[in-house]
Amino acid sequence: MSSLAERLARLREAGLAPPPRSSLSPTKAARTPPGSGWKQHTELLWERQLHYPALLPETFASGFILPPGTAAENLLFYDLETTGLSGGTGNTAFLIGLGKQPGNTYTVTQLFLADYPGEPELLPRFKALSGPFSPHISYNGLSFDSQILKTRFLLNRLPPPASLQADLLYPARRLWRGRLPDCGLQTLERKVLNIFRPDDLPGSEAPAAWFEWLEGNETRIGGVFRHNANDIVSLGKLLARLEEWACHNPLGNSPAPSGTPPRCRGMARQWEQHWEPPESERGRQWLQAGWGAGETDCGYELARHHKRLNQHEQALSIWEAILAKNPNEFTAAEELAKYWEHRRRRPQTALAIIARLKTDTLSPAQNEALEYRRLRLERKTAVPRPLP
Amino acid sequence: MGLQELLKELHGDRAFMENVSAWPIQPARAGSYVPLPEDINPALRIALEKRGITRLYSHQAECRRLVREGHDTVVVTPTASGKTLCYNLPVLERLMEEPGSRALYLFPTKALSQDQQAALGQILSGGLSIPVYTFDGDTPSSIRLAARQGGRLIISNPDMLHTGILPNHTKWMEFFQNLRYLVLDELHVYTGVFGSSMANLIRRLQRICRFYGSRPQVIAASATIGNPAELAARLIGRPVKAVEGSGAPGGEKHLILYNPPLVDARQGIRRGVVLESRRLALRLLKAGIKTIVFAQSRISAELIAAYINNSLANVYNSNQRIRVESYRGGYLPSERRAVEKGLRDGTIQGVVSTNALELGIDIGGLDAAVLAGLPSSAASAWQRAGRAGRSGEVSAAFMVGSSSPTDQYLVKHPDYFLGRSPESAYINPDNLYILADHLKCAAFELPFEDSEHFGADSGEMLAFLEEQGVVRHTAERWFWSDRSYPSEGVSMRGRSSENVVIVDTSAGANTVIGEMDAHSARELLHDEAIYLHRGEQYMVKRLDLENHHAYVERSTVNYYTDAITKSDIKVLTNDGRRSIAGAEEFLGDLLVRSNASSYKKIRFGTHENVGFGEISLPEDEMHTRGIFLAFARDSPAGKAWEAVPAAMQAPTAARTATLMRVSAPIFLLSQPGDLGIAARVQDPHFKESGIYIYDNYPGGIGLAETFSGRLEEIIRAALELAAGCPCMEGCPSCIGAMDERDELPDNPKTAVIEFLRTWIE
Ligand SMILES: [Zn+2]
Repeated sequence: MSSLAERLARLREAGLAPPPRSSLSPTKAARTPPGSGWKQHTELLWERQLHYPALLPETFASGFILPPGTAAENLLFYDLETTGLSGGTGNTAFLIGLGKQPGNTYTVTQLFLADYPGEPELLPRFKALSGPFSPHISYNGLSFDSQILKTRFLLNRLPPPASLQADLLYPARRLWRGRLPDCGLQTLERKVLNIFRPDDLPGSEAPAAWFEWLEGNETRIGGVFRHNANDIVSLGKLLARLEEWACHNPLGNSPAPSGTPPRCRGMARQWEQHWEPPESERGRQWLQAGWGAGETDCGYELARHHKRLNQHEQALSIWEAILAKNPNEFTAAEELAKYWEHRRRRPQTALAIIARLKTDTLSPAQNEALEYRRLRLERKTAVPRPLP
Repeated sequence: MGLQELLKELHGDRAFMENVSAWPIQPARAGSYVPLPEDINPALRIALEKRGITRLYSHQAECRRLVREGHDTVVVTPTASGKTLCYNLPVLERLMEEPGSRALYLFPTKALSQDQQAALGQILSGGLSIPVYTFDGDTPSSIRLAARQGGRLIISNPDMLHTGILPNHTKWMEFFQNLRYLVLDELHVYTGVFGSSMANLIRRLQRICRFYGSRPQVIAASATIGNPAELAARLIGRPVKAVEGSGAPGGEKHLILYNPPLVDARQGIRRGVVLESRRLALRLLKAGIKTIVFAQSRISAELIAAYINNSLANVYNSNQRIRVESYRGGYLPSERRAVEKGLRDGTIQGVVSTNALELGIDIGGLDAAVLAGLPSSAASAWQRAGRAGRSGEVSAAFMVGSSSPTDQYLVKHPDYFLGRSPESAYINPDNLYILADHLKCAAFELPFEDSEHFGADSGEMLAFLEEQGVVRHTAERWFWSDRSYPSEGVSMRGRSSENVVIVDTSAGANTVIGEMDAHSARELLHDEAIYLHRGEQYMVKRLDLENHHAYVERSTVNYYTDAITKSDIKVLTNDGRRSIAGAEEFLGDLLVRSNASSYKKIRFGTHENVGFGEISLPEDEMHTRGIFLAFARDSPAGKAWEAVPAAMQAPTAARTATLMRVSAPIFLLSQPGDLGIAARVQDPHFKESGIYIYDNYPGGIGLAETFSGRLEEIIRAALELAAGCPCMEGCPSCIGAMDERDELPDNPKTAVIEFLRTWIE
């Protein structure tokens, strides 16, 4: 039987293994990471701070995303760079960026893991720096970054941080889905914040850049540092922009914040996250603005508000307007039919409304619902049989 | 009429008895019982008593005793002998005694998981509150969190453990910290390459448990195989105690070996196994006997079911109130569940199934089994026959021989068939290919310590992986250093490809009616194939292999289709030639191609061939590793080969190949299907006669290389096996059975023995 080495070589020839990486050069001890300001915290943990002009308002008064009156100095923004792009215990965070605005500067702290064995120092350091702040604000951190961190703590037998998470991905999706090609942070930066990063290293190249660093090749790791710092800055700016939109009255005369405007329906939904209607006056304003601009989804929502408040005539006029614009709007016709059947007890009118719908454009479920309603209305409108 | 009377009637039926080659009767066996143990948890005792369980079979009690003493245990029982209680009892007891403790059950298929969940639900409905969750690919994400956090007993499968649970073990921290038991049911399926992967998966599981400070005890259950304790010990890497010998009662059991009558004695043509099995099944069903028919293929299962239903069809008494269903892989889960339920509650009297029902799916009591064609292994034959006779009443299994040489041999040599001991199962957890794959997954799950062991050679293997750039060695540990999620690229079962979804487009509809693996789809779902599905007939309009869809429409033609598949082997690289064991061996990469190129149209009922059609599909290719063992001129093998008379060369080469396939597993720790073997007279590439031996897995899995390393031993063992086999002209245990339609000038067994002897002596 051939030696193990020979047999392993055959494994490789059979195309099962990837081609070997460029020669392994032993890591030089205590290499300073590229870029300015790095301080060695422990043997394999480096740390630096970058300063930017303040970019957050002192307090977030609106209650749109954060509880009303949240002070900027309590917030922590964070973002990880990891060795893999999916979850799982084999995915290590090698760079943690933290953003804070303690006074009139916005500071970005970066913790850099120079090699795997430094992780037991990295994690407590992150906890010490982030612990006093709340909430922890991220982009997709709820399902990714916070989960990775939790896994890293558990693998190192450390208690994971129990921080309150505020993930801006969800409000961003609510507001801009359909308005933007996607809701990635980079897209939002360009379209909503009007920021363009000229020499950015795509986040997907971060794992390779770190593996290269481990092998003594520093060409790309600096790009990851910049990318991460930029992400932390953008996160702050995004929260500030969201607050601007929160303070904007769409029915007023003040100029709108710059960048792609959000969907009115999305703005209303975001308000409804914290404020139950009808108190959510801000939400109502956005629905009115949207309906005024001819957005059907805002019209429907507005009509629902009216219906809930027993303002049936207002609701009626909205449904009628929607149906006038598009004669085959199933929901408007259905709502009108309900109104005439149940509230006004005129099944004849209801029947006439649904009879005008073209069934071939409806979904099977809609057709089924329609058929059911039609049969009931026909029973109601039939001439009662004379008693024997 | 009951089965007893029908058997008596058959015994007196001369026409029937002429075709019976053996009719052994196993007498009824009384059960061996022990009372429910005194120290059993009172709440569990009440729950069991509510289910009517007031005493245990002796083997159940024995299993409980060994488990409670802390032994890893494997229990070997025939079908219908209370196997699941063997592990459920000690597991539930422990879960009740230790409120934090957890258990993991692994089943090879999802269907079995669902069955077990239902069975546990029944016991637990007696007032016990132990949360049981099935966690597999079908578990909705809303339930996953609850399962991870609150599941005391998790039912899953190897694939889910491999790609879902272990790589995310921190989410299961509490579960792993408190894991007390690992239950492995259907242990006998973990053989060959699948078993070798499974052993590595269990190594990974044990490693994660060590990390969390637990050491789950293993309880395994296996069907009858030759070496259950050895297989279990190889799988879990620890010695295992075996409980053999069932204490369950058994009814009187009739085994009837039946050879369909000759229709053309001169050419040796017999009545077809499909039609003959239908006849037998009808006779049983009409007598009111609940019957299962096992077919050898999906097509035969559909045909037999359709023929039976046609014969029963009678407008006046609605099918004589007999309902017969087909059952096979590829049906929607809901359809399968419905058939299983119908069998249990008695609304279905007959079922025609492929081996899909062979595993321990609960279908209640059946009285008779008809095996349309004999299974390839004795263990499998007993497993299928065991389907009848669940209730402890009289039962009968009719084994109908097909025209294949193996079947004909078995049915004509009943002593051989009945006396054959069950096959042993072999695995090789240290197969380098499999080990390398699982080592990657393990490194992803947790960094390796320098001092840690994971099978053989793990240090050297990790160094190799570092060279490949997927792990990094530093500070006495090996860290996963690749961006990929390795378990996604490693299949537990070797060959795997996405299933083809079958879409019925009749009358503008778009309904999914089933699915099929891509390999079979080429033969059964090619354009214009007739696809039979639960008694309905469809014609395939288009097979879209790229997007994994087959579009079918209802059809009413009077034929079905049978694809003709051709295969060949192409040599891609030739890495070297060496003289070995008296022959010349070439090692290299091979392309094994099979191609369904045309199909036959076969008329329903008469089975006459009524036409042909072309199939245009790209070839099914597998790139693998293999050797060509050439009987090169001037080598001892070549000289032996030249001594074989020309007319005997082809049969000698083919039979030598078969003999090697039979002899190899014990040396390779594989199962026969893991290896491809093909004989060649004057191979066009090598210009020599010889035998191809290749790994039946894409990319190769190291078996052909091991084969080459142990060639001399294998040839000697093969020669010994053939020479020592008591058969006259060959049998399934050695060179393969003689085909009665073959006309060979010499005895092929003598020729093979002579050839091998000249070669190596
Ligand atoms: Zn033999």
